[in-house]
Amino acid sequence: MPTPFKEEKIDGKTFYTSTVRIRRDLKWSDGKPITADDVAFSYMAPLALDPNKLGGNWPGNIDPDILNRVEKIDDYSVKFLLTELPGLAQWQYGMLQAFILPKAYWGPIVDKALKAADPVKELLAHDPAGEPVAGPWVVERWEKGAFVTHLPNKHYGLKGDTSTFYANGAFVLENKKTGIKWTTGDAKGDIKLQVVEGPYVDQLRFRILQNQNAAVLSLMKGEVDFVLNSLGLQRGFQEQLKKTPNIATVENSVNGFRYMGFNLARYPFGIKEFRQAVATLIDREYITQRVLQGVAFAQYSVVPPGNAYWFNSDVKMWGKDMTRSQRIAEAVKLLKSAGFSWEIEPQVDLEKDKVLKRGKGLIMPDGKKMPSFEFMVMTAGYDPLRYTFGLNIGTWMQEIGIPCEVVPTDFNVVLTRTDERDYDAFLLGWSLGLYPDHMHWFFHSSQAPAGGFNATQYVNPEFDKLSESFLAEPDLIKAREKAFRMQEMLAEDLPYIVLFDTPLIEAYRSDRLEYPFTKVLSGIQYFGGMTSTVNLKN
Amino acid sequence: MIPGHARAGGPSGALRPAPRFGREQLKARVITMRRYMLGRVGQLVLTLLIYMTMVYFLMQAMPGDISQVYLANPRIPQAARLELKKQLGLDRPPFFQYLSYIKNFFTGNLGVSFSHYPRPVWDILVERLPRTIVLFVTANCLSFYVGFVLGRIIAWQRGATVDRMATVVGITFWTAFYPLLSLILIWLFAFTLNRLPLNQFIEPALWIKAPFTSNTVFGYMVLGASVIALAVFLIFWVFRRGLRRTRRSAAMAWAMTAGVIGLAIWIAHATGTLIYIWDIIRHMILPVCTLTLINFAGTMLLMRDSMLETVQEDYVMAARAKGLPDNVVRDRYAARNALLPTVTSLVLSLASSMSGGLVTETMFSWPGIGQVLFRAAIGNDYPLATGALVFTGVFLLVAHFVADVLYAFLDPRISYTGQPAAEG
Amino acid sequence: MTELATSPDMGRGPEKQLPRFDPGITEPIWKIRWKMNMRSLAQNWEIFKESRVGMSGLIIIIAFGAFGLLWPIMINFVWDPLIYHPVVGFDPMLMHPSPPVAGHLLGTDPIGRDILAQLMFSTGREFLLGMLSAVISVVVGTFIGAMAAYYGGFTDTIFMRVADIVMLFPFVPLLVVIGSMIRLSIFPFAIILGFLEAFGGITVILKAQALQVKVRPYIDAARVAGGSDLHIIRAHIIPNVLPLSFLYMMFNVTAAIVSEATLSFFGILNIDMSWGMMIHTAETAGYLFDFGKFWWLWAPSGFFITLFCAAFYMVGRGLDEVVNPRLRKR
Repeated sequence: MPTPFKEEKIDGKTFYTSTVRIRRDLKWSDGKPITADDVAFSYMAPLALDPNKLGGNWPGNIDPDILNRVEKIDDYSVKFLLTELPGLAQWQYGMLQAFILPKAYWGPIVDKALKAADPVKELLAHDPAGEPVAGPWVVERWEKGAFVTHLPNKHYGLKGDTSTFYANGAFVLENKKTGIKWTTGDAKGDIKLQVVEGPYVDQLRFRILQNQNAAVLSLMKGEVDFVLNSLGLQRGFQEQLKKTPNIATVENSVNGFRYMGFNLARYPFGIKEFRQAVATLIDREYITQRVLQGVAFAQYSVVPPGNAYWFNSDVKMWGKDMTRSQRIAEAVKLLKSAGFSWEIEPQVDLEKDKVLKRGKGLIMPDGKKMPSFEFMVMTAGYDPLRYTFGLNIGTWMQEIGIPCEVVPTDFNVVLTRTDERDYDAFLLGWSLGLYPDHMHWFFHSSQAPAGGFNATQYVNPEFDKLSESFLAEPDLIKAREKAFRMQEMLAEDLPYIVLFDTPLIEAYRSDRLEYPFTKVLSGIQYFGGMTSTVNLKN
Repeated sequence: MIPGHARAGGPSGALRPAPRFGREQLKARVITMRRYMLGRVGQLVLTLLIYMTMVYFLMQAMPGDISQVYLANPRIPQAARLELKKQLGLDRPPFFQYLSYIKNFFTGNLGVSFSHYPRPVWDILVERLPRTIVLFVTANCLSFYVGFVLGRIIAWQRGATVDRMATVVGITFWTAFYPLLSLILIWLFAFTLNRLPLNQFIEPALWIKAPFTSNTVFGYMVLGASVIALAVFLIFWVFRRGLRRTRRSAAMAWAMTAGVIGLAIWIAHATGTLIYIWDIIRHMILPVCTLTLINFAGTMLLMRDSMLETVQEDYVMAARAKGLPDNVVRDRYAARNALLPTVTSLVLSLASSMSGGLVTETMFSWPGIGQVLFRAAIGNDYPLATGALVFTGVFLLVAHFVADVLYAFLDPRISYTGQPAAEG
Repeated sequence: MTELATSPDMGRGPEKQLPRFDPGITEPIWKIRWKMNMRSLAQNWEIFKESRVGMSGLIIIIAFGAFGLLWPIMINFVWDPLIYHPVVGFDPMLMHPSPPVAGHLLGTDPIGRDILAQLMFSTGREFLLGMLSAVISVVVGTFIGAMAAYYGGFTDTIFMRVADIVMLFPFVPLLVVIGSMIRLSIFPFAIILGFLEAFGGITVILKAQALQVKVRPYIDAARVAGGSDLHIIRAHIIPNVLPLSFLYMMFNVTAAIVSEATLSFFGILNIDMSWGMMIHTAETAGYLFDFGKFWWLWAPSGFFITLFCAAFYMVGRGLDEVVNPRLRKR
């Protein structure tokens, strides 16, 4: 648990330092304790190798721009020396979540790699079989292409950790065996949930199945107890599994969204009212509830509701709860206010909810007739949901005379073209992390040039300033306020028209497994099936 | 894989009989044979090079590259992406990439897979190869045998109910929608009747404590099957050629075959591999049967057509006129000569199944070459996809070569210049 | 191979190269040729009619054709496109997938589209795909085969080596590789398929056939009479190869449909609706593992694929007996 940052002058340079203490009861799977040496090594080795070159998981959270070095103070504490004061994104949600690796194992390998001509290549070529780990499982046998089995880690330090969540938000972490106790908030009142870390299972087996039918059949047959499938279970499986005895299904929301984006650098997509009109036209609830029959849910903010702490439920929801004709009337109003006109203006009957006349020949504020543009959606084979959504959106736009042509396009082509900014409109999706710094990356103007993440080329100086200060914000409460403000701005400006996402449905053998809890953002599989807390029945 | 595809099951258009060679032509035949072989090898290398080039540039023409895999994670900066490209050698001009690709291929280096980075492509393919070989060789041989036997019967009884029934049933399976059929069979036999393993190629519970890896066992299986096949072939060759064909000698041949197989099983048992081999065989039953159902008709119809041609040959007529029993004429005279085009198609289908097993391997979770190719293509793993395509291409090329040579050796009626002897 | 029946040489207009010698016949030669062609067609038809397999195949194909032709009538005059459109249709009155009911004789798919409408709509497309790829493969294959056989030498070597290489490409995996990287829509797919077939095995087989025609005396006669190469290829070689080409065309239709269905099943084509896509939709939505319960999601389309392919294959078998006299009944 880090101490607050102090400003220190060392060798004439100013550093912001923080001391981090390490739990004393943790061990590697080879029985050696996890010490400050390991922690310092885990930060210093990637720095020496240049994390940009290394790529991948290990250094992903280490920012060489601000981390100068990590020093060992004693066996169980280290000191971080940073060149500037980090925000939440870089510190709590960044550096402190980096992987810690055993120095005894990796030290010599990194040393050897550093001497090689291409250190990174040398390091990546190393086969990490037999590496000591700190997690609950050690690999027992791996038959490539068939299965992997794990045995419990005998030295797993977190075993017996009791996490208690109170109804008032307090949290207590306690390990009776080693005497560690850590509390936040006021630990009183009703206990909402108590989880004791295992593992309780004597062996863990992963089978590799290549088609989902076979996976579900083996679940029903009892050959497997849980299915890890990043897509979750589709509706046909759900219907069947709900009726099957001894199988429990769990539904969780997912941290992500699918959205529609316009190329804001092209006229007239840069006009805010145009996007607002399109957003108003899209009846998300009709598609998710009626056409797709609940396999997806509507979404309006760029932070998904599942990410409850950061989600702002109060953003502007264009066209929500309107009828078809109301939507059209509203969209026409918005377009007119921005100077659009029609050769034939669409007309609706609000009373009977009927379209009397379809719009034709939309004329842009600059007086020219709007040319037909291309709206890229996924192919039906790749993602039927986005395909269905895209077709419907296209139909609605055409109804009021927006000359859009829906083009089912290959995923790779969409990515390439958005990356090169060579497109009119597209439909894509994101899967997100817990901390909503994606808003910075997706919408900050510095990311707008080709290759950056701001594919719609949204530029708003006010937003830029806010998002920068959000990233640098070290205080959680204030960061949340800023995140809320950002969501409101984005919902108003609509660089993305957020559409929907699908809940994740999973199933497990309820006659075999007992989970302490099943409400998990992105599903049980987000934590690898929660293998260390699950209990075996009988 | 594809019903009706020209090389698999169509009528033997290219293989019409032509006038036989005269005695004086035999000498010339030996010389042309050697020249023919040499020329063929030269063409082989050239063809391979052209093929590799085509595969390479085909891959280059595809959109998307590996850096897109990291597009989804904003935290990996632009610099890291460029660095990654450099490591994978994607920053050099395409022509140099191509040259090093060709050079590397001939030193046995197919590059490094993107999606399994940093595993070499070669490594992945070699790991998958034995599984694919065992499954598809078995399936091909079985479907070949079934097709051969059935084709022989229905040709002999052409026009009869058996002929029509077998043709209709055969065509139905031959054109059945394969993924659907395999799903139905899995559901029926592995789930509803619960008789067979559902998917995969080994049972984890059994293999956890296994002293070998599955690939070792596959290796033993390939080795064992080859030895048995060779032994059985020798036994029958000796008995058929060397001794008089009597009922007793036939019985002895069968007894010896049983003995060889029994011995093989005993060796497997003694070395402790038997239970593991049996486990793999159990997992093979369903895919092999599905493949046989789909494929047997190809061989059957080809065999039928081929038989119908041979039964009109003089020697078959003569044998009949001699008053030999019907089935002797059928099996010894007509069928043996009709076998030739069928065997060629077997060699070719064996090779093409090295890669064509994509559907089977996916439906039955059998991690072989076809599946690697599929995953690599889906995941934009160009080196792996290229490697797998080239790898299977080499197999096919060699098989074509073997088929040609086999044909040239076995059938005196075919000349070696690649054109039918009809031209003279 | 003897007595090759020729096939019609329609619209080829050989009048330009009128005969250099006058055999004393008053009728123009194209008329004679036309009559001969018609007669040989009639003969071939007689032989084909003998084949029960071929005839049943033909009847099935005609039935499919009629079914496919129903589509424009149904969607324009009978069905409401909002509900029955094969891709964006949706019936708000039912829970989907719905088993067969009055309005939907074969039920609806998981996102509320009518199965019968999809089947009907797809039939035309399957014909289009199959015929387009087969015609391309056969036209190109026949022409190349005839050229290679007639000229021999360098031309022959080049095309035969190209055929070797094309045959080297593992067929389905290659399409998978191309398809998964650039999702092909129906036309490019048919064209790629057609050319792959054309340059591959079909060329080799048709060349072998053309070679046998080339050594016939009448080719020499035509050459002596001063016929140009192109004329000889067009008027004498190609018509004699055509029956075999036609036979392979049938097999290629089968191959094209099965390839499309397989690739669609894996979701790697950019085709909005086809029989393969229907099964793909059922599969991805998770309805393809309880076969008894949701039969209408897979059985009609699966049955159609098999029947359609089998029909063309059977016609091919029937034609085989026309082309190959040894297969005919004794």
